[in-house]
Amino acid sequence: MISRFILVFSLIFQTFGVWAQDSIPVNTRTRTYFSPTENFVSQLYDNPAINYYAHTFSISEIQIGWKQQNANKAILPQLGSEVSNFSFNAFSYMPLKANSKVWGSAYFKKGRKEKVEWNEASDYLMVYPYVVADSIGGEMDFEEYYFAGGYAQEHERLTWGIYGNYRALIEYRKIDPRPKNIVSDLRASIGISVKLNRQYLAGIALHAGKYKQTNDLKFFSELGSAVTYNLSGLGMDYVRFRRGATSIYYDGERYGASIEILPRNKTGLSGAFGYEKFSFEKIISDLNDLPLNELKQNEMKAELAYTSFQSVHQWGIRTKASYQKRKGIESLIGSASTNVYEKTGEAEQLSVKRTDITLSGVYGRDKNQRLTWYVSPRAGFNSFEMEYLDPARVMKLEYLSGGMNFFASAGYKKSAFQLTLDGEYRNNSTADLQLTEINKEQIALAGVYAAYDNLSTNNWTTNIELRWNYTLPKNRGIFIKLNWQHDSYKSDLHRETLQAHCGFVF
Amino acid sequence: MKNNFIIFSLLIMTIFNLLSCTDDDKNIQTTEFKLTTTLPADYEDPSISNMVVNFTNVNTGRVISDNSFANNEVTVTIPEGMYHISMEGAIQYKREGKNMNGQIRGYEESVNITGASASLTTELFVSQISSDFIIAEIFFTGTLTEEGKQYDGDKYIKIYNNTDKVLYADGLSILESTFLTVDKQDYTPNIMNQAMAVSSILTIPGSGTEHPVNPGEFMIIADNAINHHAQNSQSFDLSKANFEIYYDDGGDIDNPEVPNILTPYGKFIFHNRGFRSYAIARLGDMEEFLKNYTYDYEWMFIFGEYEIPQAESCYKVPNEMIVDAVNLSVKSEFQWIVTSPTLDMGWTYCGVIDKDNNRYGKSVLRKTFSTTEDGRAILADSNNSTLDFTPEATPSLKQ
Repeated sequence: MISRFILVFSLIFQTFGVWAQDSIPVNTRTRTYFSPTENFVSQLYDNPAINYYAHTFSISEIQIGWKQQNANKAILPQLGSEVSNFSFNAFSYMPLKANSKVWGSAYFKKGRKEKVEWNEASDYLMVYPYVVADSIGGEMDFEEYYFAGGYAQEHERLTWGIYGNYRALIEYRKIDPRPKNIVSDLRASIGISVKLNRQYLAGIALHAGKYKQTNDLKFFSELGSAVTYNLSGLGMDYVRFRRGATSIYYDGERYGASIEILPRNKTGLSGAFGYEKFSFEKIISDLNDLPLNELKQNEMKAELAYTSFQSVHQWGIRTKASYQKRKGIESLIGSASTNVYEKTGEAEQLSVKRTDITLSGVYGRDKNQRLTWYVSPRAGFNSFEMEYLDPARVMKLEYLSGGMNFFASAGYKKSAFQLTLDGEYRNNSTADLQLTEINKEQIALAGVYAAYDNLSTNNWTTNIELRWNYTLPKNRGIFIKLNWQHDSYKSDLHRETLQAHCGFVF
Repeated sequence: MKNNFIIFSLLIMTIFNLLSCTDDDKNIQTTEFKLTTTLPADYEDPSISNMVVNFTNVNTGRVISDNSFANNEVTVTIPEGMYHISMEGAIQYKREGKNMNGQIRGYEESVNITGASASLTTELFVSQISSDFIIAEIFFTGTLTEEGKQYDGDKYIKIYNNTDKVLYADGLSILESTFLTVDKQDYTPNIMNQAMAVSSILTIPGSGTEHPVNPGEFMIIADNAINHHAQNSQSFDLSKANFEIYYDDGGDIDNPEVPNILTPYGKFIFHNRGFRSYAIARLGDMEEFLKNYTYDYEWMFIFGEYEIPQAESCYKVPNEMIVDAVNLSVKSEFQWIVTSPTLDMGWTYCGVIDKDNNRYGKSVLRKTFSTTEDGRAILADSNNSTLDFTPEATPSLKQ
């Protein structure tokens, strides 16, 4: 797999390298690309036709990196407490002809997550709560591959674009319990935009995707195995399938649409609205493809902004909102004959509602090669409510948050330095966990309690990133980037994340 | 343009509002379920009291109890699903003019309760006090060596005289079920309510009075009747067992000091994960039994898209011949009991999951119900192994 990744990646970037001929100095392009204003409004560019207007220059970057994350305990035990991985990343954005642009990205990660508990699936945040879990867990080795590519072309008033990405993930453990998970996630978008007048564009895009994950959990010990649970939310599980039913797959699909309106020169009002429906079935393959659960997720997100990024004094204000509703359906299973189970009905037992609202601003001065700086304050509200109907169980969490980002860039001879400081404090304003009909055999409640202990407390994050760019001949450059992040929760949780990357930019 | 933008923003907010305010229909589908009971015809003036009906949801494990039983029926509103239904109460009735008291029970397995309303009629049965031997203990898991390896050969079954008179074990048979409690099939013809399908039979030799067992005493039938403790410190001495299971097919151990039990049918091998059920029975003349009680049955083996008809044969032991039965299973794998509920309406276990490494060295041990003035233990015998047995108990030979 890795050899195929390198082959495909090399072909793509050799081709890009030939076209990558931009007269703007590489350090200027890098500073602009990573400045807060360039990505201040981002949802618009989910439409590949509008991504044509994302940048006015070309840039490509290849980097290798290492990430080391240590913590005294996990925020969500289902995701593990610690991660270490090697990564290889690349992206490119460039004009192909006078009226067409192409962009792409790829990454490969190989590493290990430590202390993953109460979850043997991959992509937990996508497939929760319908995972197979056990009380043992442990480290999880992973390899992840990602390719993305898009193309857009402008024809007078009309611009069209296409985009696709594919992610493959393999996760496994070499000691009992031994999961082997394979994820295949394909997404594609097609969009158009129309010039409404000399300044404004309006766009519409359609999005679709196919998701599949197979889980095969095995125990090799001759002396037995741990209890496994097919979880159904807030500590509930299919008692009937404890221990068994550990070969499963998730079969999902997504589709959606988005509309956008924006100024081409990034000065003015802009807005985007997107809707996506994602659903999957959890199917037990070792019980003759018995559909155990179905999850239906509806998500909408919107972004409204006013930006003024054309003068030396640059400023903008933006509000983002997203609302996600998940409905979880459990199959009612009748009597079995030779491992053939009869589905006799279904019950909609689970609902999850998640709301995120952020108001943020940015102000800064761009003095080209000299000192450039931006400050970006933000405030937010986040709400998460998970409810299990019968027996009645609910977890409700709300946060009010405030944060500040500072970005500065300065050039000196062939070098350019970028400093990013970021901090955010999240105040837990509501925390409620109500569980009824608890019995001592619902061991999987341990995972719920552990997650709630952390999520129900105030927490804060600080992040520092330093990047040094150095210009090479032929308008190319190299860079080194260091990033340190500290997360603290009042539940006595402390997590440090250190990342180091170096690479080549052109 | 600003007007267009305002319209766009209002549109977004309206869509958000509409979608986020559409609430789910938060109702679990429930069924009004009416359970009607009948009694066998020979109970005069029956009066049932204190009847508790338990509905155990097979998928979720939730137990809903109801005690509103009246006029031979109960009506409950419960979430749709598949349930095991068990009933237990007290009964007063007359037989041959005499007032009698007893425990009355009912059991229905894997009942699909769906739709707005549903109903079921079930026949209750009165628990009989055994006048014969009962199974006091089954040690079927084996032990582990000090190195953590499986150790076989030290399994045994203990037969107990729970009556107040001397019983003779001569001709008493020990039965092993053909069917597994973890693998429910649609066996045709279905004889479950009339007889037990058995895959092997052991029979205590004797002419009728050679093996007396006093009240409160027991017999041990061992797999290999040797002193296992000598080679495995975690095992025990079975050299004093009353009978030994021996098959002259090579590899089996035969202690000449311990008489061998008869092996008229099949090969009796304790299932060390507890998937089979066991019973003791009085089969009468063995030749006659083997001639008259064959059970030819069919079932469908289904694997994916493949359906392969199966035809097999074993012996069936009518319920009237069975004096005691114990269903064994594993919590995570249990699918059904493989005896009539009139013999045993529950099941017991060692290990809560399949291949549980905590099961070794443990047995299922019948609880003591009471002790007589002269110190004789009367063991629990309600024909419900779930209640009568202590699962995962320390074997009596280790106590």
